[in-house]
Amino acid sequence: MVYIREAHPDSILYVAREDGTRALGVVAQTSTAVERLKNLQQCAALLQLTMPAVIDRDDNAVNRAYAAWPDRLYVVGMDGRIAYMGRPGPAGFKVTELESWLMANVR
Amino acid sequence: MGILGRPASCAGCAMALLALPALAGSAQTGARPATYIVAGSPTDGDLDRLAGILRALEGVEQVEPGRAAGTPTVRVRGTGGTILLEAARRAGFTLRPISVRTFVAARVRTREDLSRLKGVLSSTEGVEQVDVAPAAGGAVLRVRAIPGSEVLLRAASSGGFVLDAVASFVATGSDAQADLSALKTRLGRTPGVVRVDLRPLVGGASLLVHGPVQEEMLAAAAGEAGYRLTPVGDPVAGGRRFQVQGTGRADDIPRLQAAIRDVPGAKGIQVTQEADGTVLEVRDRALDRDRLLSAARAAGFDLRPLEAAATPTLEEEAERNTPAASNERVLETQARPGQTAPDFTLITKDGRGTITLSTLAGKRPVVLIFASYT
Repeated sequence: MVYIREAHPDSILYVAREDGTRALGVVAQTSTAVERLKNLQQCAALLQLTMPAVIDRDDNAVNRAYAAWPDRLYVVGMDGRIAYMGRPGPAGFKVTELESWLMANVR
Repeated sequence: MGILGRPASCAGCAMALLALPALAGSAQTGARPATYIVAGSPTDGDLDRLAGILRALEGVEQVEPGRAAGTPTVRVRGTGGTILLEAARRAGFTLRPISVRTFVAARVRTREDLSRLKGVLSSTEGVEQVDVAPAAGGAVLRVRAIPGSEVLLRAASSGGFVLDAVASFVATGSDAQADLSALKTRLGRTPGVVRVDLRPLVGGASLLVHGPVQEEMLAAAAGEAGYRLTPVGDPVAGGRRFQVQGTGRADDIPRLQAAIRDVPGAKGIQVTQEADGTVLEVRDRALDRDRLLSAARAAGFDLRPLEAAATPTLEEEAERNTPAASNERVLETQARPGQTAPDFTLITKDGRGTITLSTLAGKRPVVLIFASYT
């Protein structure tokens, strides 16, 4: 997962507290690696994410290269080429479509 | 985070949620058109040019430029949200969705009162949609309209109704008690504000502001107190409700049910007759909303999302979304099917290492999931 700029900054979501409990908090927009790591770690901890996850650069270069905001799915094939390109999210963010593609194309 | 089944309140994200076991941009195929206000003083020629630009966007079905209540607008059916806003911005236009305002009405006791109040507001120029629901001691209304609160309050008053305007915001900043007290005091001095209710959150506060206020003035007052103020949506509801349009014959409901039977996740759908007509309710978050709308439409039915009017409160434990961020949408991608994926080296979530995409390729396919917390 590539963490990119927030889609709905300043939304009220549950966040993890230092004492291990959770509370409603304000999730602000991120512009720096420190801010992005904080949001990604909050999210990963709360939702128990185990997939590899990285944060986009401060200049949002990867987000721009993939036109990824607010969310988007791609598959890079073993040859390093784009094998599947989902449509722009959120309307085009279709996990079921990706799943079907993977079932049909990946052994 | 939408991809993980987190609730979302914007139309576009809710759609994504429904497509998963889950506004930026939203596809409104089969739904009612969305109206956007065009900022500034565009001429009719400008509006026609803007309409032409928007019509050229993939997924846009229909664009109608016009003026409502003296305000320049475009009504768009099809793909919407931030894709439209970005395309308009590139052409020198600023669009903003029309506002949804919430009011509480006292002394509205009967179904006839509710119906009459809805009628008074619905007939006001620039009002697109009015949803009403009974509430303790009266009723609560959600009004999607171009005119501001003062115009709507006057319209209600002309019909003999007294409304209390209530708006929900999130304040981002210090969560120290003293700072929040200063914020509340400063907002309370803003013209039009009758009362401010505040609930502390980690990193800010949730606010209910009573009174016919202008958001710009309120945001400026919050800024003076060191906070950023953002409108926030209603608590996320568990299900999704649609008004079914196109019914009228006795066999319509069975016909609709048959039409959507094969949509994945459709087992959780209920179709009932209510005051608003035939209502379809989705309970299964795995349901693919696009396919639902398409299947219904193919059978001659339009599904129109129903907004639930509910009394604003600070006591809810539900998560709430703000509107999609503006100026974030990128329209062109450098990643093209069949071409080499743009390479990157990015910091891992523990902050201690990096991952380089090109080092992974060759071993196995890589799924890239781009997303954020919200």
